[in-house]
Amino acid sequence: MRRRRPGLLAAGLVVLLAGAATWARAADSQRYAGRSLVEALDLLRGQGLRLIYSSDLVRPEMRVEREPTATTLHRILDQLLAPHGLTSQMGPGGNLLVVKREPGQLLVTLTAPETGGMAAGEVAVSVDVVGEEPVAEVDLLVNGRLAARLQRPPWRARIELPAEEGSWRLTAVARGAWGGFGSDSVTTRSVVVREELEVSLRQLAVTATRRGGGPTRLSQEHFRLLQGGSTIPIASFERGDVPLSVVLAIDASESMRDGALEAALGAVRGFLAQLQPGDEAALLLFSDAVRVLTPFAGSGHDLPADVAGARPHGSTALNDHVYAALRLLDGRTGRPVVLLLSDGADVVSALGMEQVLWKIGRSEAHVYWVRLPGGPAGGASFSSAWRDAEGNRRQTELLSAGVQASGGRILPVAGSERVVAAFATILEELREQYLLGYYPRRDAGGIDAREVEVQVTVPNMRLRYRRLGGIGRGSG
Amino acid sequence: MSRLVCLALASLALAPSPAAGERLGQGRLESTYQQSLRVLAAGDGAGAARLLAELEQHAATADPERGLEVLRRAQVAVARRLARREPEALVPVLLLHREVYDGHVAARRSLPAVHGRLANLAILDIYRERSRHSAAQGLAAAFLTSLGGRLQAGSQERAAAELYRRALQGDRGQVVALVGLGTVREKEGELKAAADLLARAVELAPDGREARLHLAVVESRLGRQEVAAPLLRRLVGEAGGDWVAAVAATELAESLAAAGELRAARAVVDATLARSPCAPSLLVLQGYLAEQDGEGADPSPFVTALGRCAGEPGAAPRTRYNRRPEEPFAALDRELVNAGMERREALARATGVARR
Repeated sequence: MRRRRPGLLAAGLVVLLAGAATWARAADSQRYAGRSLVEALDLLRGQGLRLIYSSDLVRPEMRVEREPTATTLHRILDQLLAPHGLTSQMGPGGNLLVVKREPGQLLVTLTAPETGGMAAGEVAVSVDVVGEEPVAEVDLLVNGRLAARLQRPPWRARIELPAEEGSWRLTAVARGAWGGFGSDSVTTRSVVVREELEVSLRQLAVTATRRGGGPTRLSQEHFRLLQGGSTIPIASFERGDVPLSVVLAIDASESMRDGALEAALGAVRGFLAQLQPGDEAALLLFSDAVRVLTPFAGSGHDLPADVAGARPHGSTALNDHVYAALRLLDGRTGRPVVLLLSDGADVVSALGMEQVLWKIGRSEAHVYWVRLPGGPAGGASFSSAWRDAEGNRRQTELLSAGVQASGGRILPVAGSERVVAAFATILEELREQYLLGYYPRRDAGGIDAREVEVQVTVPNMRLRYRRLGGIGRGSG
Repeated sequence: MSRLVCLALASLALAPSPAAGERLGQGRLESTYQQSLRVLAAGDGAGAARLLAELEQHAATADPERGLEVLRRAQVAVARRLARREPEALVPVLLLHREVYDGHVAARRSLPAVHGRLANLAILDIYRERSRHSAAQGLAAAFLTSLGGRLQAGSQERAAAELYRRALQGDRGQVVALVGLGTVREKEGELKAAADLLARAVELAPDGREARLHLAVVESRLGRQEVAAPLLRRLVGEAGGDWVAAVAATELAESLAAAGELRAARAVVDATLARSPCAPSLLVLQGYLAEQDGEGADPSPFVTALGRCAGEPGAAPRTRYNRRPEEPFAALDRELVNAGMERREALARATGVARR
């Protein structure tokens, strides 16, 4: 038996250990994790990958968090770039260009709670997110307000619903690392459910004026209500002493300079001073946003002191704020009225007047428009990035149609000094209105939705009441 | 204030005040103008601007009929002499004129402002003609764009468009001119032309958020939702929650709602309001979409939000959108200022002033 010489064995061991150390150093020098992305890409370049990138995209602060698992240089490159929302594509001359990844669509599903289900107190929320890109965060919102922000999976949390009754809209919004985006919402009901009873008595506010003259005094016997050509009984009859709920929507944009806004606020004060017990009014001062919103207050209240300091500025979002005024009146108990003071030029609203007409159709409010000179109705033409001159003219036409269909009217004024008188005329008209109550006809198909027509037996009378026709019906 | 400025202002003040209609001598105007350029070359930019502004006002009031015309001839003559020595010296001179023009516009001095614009263009022509610098054509296009931007910001869209067009003739890749001209065309209702210009701008500078927003809105109005929607989604998803995201969210939600995707529309609005709780049109849209979705019974969340956000300062996002884009023009102005600083030495040599 031949004996192996110990010296040779030791030398082999030394070579082996030295080799392992060299290999370990080489492997260490090829590790990417912990380096900056720029260094990692330089390593790839050193191994022959022809890379081009801009320092705007590959920034010095970008780090490689995870060691790539791929074995080919191209796949390693992709794994290095992906967490930063970057990828590579073939460029001219066989070079690889580092480019931004296009954001993808994230498919978000709120798996708990269930839509329409009952929820109260602390609720477990669970979200599934599916998509190609890594998820950066998931926001949970309750009625549009942020309740929790999750930054790693599982996308679950317990959130506290507010103590009030009502329905709660939960929304999960996932944002991807490359700018992708997805969301889902569910609406839950509070534990206390209230049955809604249909109250079928309807009321119609009617303004009656003698042709060529002002309001006149009529009694129930003078009126006739017809639906589908057939007379329906008048169930209740009241004069205009039924309390009012008024939103004074006052344009405070740049066009109200040179004393127009001060004059308007003076007229608002005059209007408030004439409110009677039971009436209520709120001031909505707007330009391209709400400048001042006062709560509804009854007679004997003046404007808050800071309103006097309001100065005209900004563009006009008329449509948005007519909608807002109508929405403010929802659920008020008085006779709802919007009193709008503006030149009628909408510049930057998100809502089109078509959408506002949908709201006028649903609302019971009468809209009065004290029209200042200078807008499209007065022949002025303007365009914006949002609408051309023809589109703007059309919006004003629709506003006029909406005002008339609501049972209100347009009062053009020559200048801001006439606003006080116009407000007084409107208030007088509202006090002289008649409120006719009726039960709509029923047939086999349910409640007759056809419009009610009002007639009076007194000659030479002009009647104004809600006649929506096609306006505001349908989907809006 | 430097000694040079004091002396120059004094020479203007002590000059016999000409009666209205009296003609100003070109020689004296040239000399005062040169003095303002020497002040600039010496490193006193504010003093030079003050001197030039006073000179231009003086010319406008001393001889309302011809004063500014004579001054322009004087300025052109001086600029030609400088350009013969050092064409690059005109770059800081152009910046000085632009600064003075801004001052006239801010102070609503219309005649000096018009003069300032014309003088700028005349000096720019000399620079384009004389400069052999590799960046000269690009710089000239940038100056035209910058001036166009000022006109657009002052609602003189037609004049602005002309300058943008000229800028693009000199430099087809002048991104800010593409954005400016694109937004002018958008406001004119020329949506296809606007889309083409903005698409080129976005291709050249993919990170420009305002350009991407305008492109998305224009594409949406052209009915090309397949192009608009991904652009809008990306803008909404980007970090920041600024006015650009608010406008993008409004547009995206509107188009989703119009396509019957009410739930998706509401989610977009809710998510954006979580980041910008008082974006005015979005608040209204949130209320409207909730009503459309059958949640009209209780207006109190809407009323509360409206009240909470009343009186928020600053222009609303959709108002900002209706104005000339800000960020690309600000970046362009910064580039021009840097180009001017780099050429101060050339001006010092051309005017024979040692820099402080």
